[in-house]
Amino acid sequence: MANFNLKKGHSLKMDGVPIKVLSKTILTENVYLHPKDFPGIKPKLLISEGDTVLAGSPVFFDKLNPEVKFVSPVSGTVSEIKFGKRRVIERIIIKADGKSTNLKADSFSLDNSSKDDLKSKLLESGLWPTIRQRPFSKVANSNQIPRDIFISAYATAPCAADQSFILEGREEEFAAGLNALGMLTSGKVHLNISRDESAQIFTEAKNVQINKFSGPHPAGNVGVQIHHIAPISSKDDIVWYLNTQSVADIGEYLITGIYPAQKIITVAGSSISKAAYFKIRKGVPLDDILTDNLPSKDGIRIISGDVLSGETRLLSQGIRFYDESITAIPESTERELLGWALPGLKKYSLSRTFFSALLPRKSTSFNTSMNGSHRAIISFGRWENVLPMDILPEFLVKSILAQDIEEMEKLGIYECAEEDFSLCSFVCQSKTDVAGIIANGLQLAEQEG
Amino acid sequence: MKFLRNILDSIEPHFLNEGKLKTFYPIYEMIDTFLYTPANNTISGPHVRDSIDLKRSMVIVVIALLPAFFFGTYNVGLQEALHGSGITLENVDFNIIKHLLTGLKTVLPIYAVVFMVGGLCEVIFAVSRGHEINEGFLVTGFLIPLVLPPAIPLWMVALATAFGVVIGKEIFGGTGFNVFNPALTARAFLFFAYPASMSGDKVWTVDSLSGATPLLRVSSEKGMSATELLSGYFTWDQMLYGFIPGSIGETSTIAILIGAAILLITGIGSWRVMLSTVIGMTLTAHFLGVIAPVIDSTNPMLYLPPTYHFVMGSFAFGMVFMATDPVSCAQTNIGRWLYGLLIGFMCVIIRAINPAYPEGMMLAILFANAFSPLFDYFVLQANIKRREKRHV
Repeated sequence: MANFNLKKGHSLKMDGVPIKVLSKTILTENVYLHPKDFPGIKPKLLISEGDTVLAGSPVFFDKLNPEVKFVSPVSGTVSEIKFGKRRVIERIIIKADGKSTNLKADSFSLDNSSKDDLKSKLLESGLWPTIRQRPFSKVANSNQIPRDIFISAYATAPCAADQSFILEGREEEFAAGLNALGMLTSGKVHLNISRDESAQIFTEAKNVQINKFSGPHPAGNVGVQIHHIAPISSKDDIVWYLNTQSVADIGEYLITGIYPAQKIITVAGSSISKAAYFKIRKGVPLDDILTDNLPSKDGIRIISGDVLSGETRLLSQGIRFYDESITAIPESTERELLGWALPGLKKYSLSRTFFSALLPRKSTSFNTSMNGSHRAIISFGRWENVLPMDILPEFLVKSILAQDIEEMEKLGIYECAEEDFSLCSFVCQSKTDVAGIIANGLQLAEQEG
Repeated sequence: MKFLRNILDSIEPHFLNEGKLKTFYPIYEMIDTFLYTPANNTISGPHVRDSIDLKRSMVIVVIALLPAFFFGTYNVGLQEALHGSGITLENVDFNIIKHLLTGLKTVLPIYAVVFMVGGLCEVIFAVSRGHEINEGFLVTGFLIPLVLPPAIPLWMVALATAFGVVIGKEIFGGTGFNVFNPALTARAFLFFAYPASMSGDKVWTVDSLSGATPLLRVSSEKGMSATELLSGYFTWDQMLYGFIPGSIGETSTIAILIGAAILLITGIGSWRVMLSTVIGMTLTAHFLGVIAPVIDSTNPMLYLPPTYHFVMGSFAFGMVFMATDPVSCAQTNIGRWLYGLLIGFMCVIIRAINPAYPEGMMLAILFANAFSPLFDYFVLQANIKRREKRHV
């Protein structure tokens, strides 16, 4: 057990925090698959429109690593395959037949199996893509052996799902998943939990190293945790990570042989009438999840994930594969007269440059305003105040802008992930897209480093 | 005020991609975002942003400068009154309105010249480079008059402003890229190009009335202690409050400290820089006091206690408003500590050892500006070394 007490960062106090109530399960007719949700793969279809599929049967695979297959969570008919520019697969819609006939495998015991058996089992299950790797946050390469595997059960992102709440009743599956993961690495499986965690599913977990974290967001981000536990040293220093629900999914599959088709997410944000937890069938469109919960559909931004690192989505799309929350906030339309001179009693800022600093509020209704125009980078020291890592963000960003790969490597680009820098973008007075620049740097380092 | 918004919206297309006036988009953007908060929304994550922007940051600095501005203007009027026959601080009329108005007559023209010349330079560079007009000039333009002697000829103000903005900032690529503080560059230009108008005892009040600054009085004499030299002219209290001759904004340490409080509370000014500058100055002044008998026992500046260094000349003003310039100061926290220490050290050294330049603060800050990339370099190398070690 190791303790990490992080100080830097900030947990956003925003309106629309989900209450811990699990609403009815959403099992609507259509399921949407978006191959773009998986960074670093080249999808190749295994089905065509009109084909019937079973729950758990493969729909497409990765051309770069053909063992990695992506499966349908329902049984039914492929009703639409939509291509975008240059024949990029935008989405695959599968119409459920309502019977959910599963492709059933035999249950799997770890005791008398080898690592390779387990690997091929997971590859066949369609759960392999839930395992991702760092550096580069992409689907884990099944031909590599990770140094360590990391699981963050400490949720600090705005309106993120409480990890022990969403795993209630899945204790056995979670434990089985942890055991399986232990076979896949040459090192340790790290379970990173909150210092105040009391749920036994985490505190009593076996065959893992438990690390306790405390501190504001992004202390719960797995990248920040890896940086403190055992940092990534180079491009070839591979570690894997996955969500807690995916660990339980792996355990459940090994026990039952059936692809777990559901997951729990939070629906949050000030534009949501009843922010709560929902159990959904993986891939159901946002429209079906939000039907009664969105008073107005105009001027609302729907985000898959949290407001800091999520992605804008249409109601006709599904939740991003790895996300566990949907956030809806109003788009900004208003322009304030002489806004820079107003006292700003209701402005949310970490800077104490508004009078709101004197009147702290419990939570704020955020909108999508940039709250300023783009300007040259000026170092007020705000970025490093919200980055709990031994990384010099300004110098790293400048080396990326200069495309100096050698310098980027020296300054620790491989330890970085876009999501860990989204607070830097949030606080920047020059409205620099720090997270976006880090993403570009990672891309550059992956291609040419 | 809806009609104002409508006017702006109706002329906006002329400044966009296909418009005839698109070259002048930076000017439109400046006016538009000055009047209204910008219309741009986030595109990708993070979808929400902190309310602070550069405009707000710079406006806070200007607000922090207001006490020094108002007191300085008042003091210009007061100093003028003090040169009437037989009038001293004991019997002078402290009437605020009267002196403020006399002061404004001197100070406002200087401001007008600075903003016209500097603003024009900014706009020309922004338009020719096609980037937004940065709010940085708001602060630079507000600072320049405050570090000038009130009797400065306006043509020199114009020249210095153009030099500060163009050579101090724009040739490096504009706001965010400059090595030296533009306002200090402007002052340094005058200091070296027209030394007779920037130092000596003739320049501190209008109409060339004699009014030596405390620093000048101490540094030009030998054989007496600094406090003795000052007695009969200035008390420590007077220098703290600022009823003394000096550059327009630098005389009142109290007014400057109010500004410092605003900068520190809002987090716009770096506390590390301010604190380390004071520490550097205090240590150096003490050290010189100890070794003074050995090196030059007749130089009164060597014996000057830190409390006097603090209230004399532009130490406080430079520390609060010039040293903390986020662009030209060090970019790392450890770098900021070293940078501040160097400023405090150099300021006292220049004041005490070099009688030709009694005002050491300007040169100390410019010197430290030049060194700040080096400090950052060491911090950067230490970070890289730490990473390499961890991975062995």
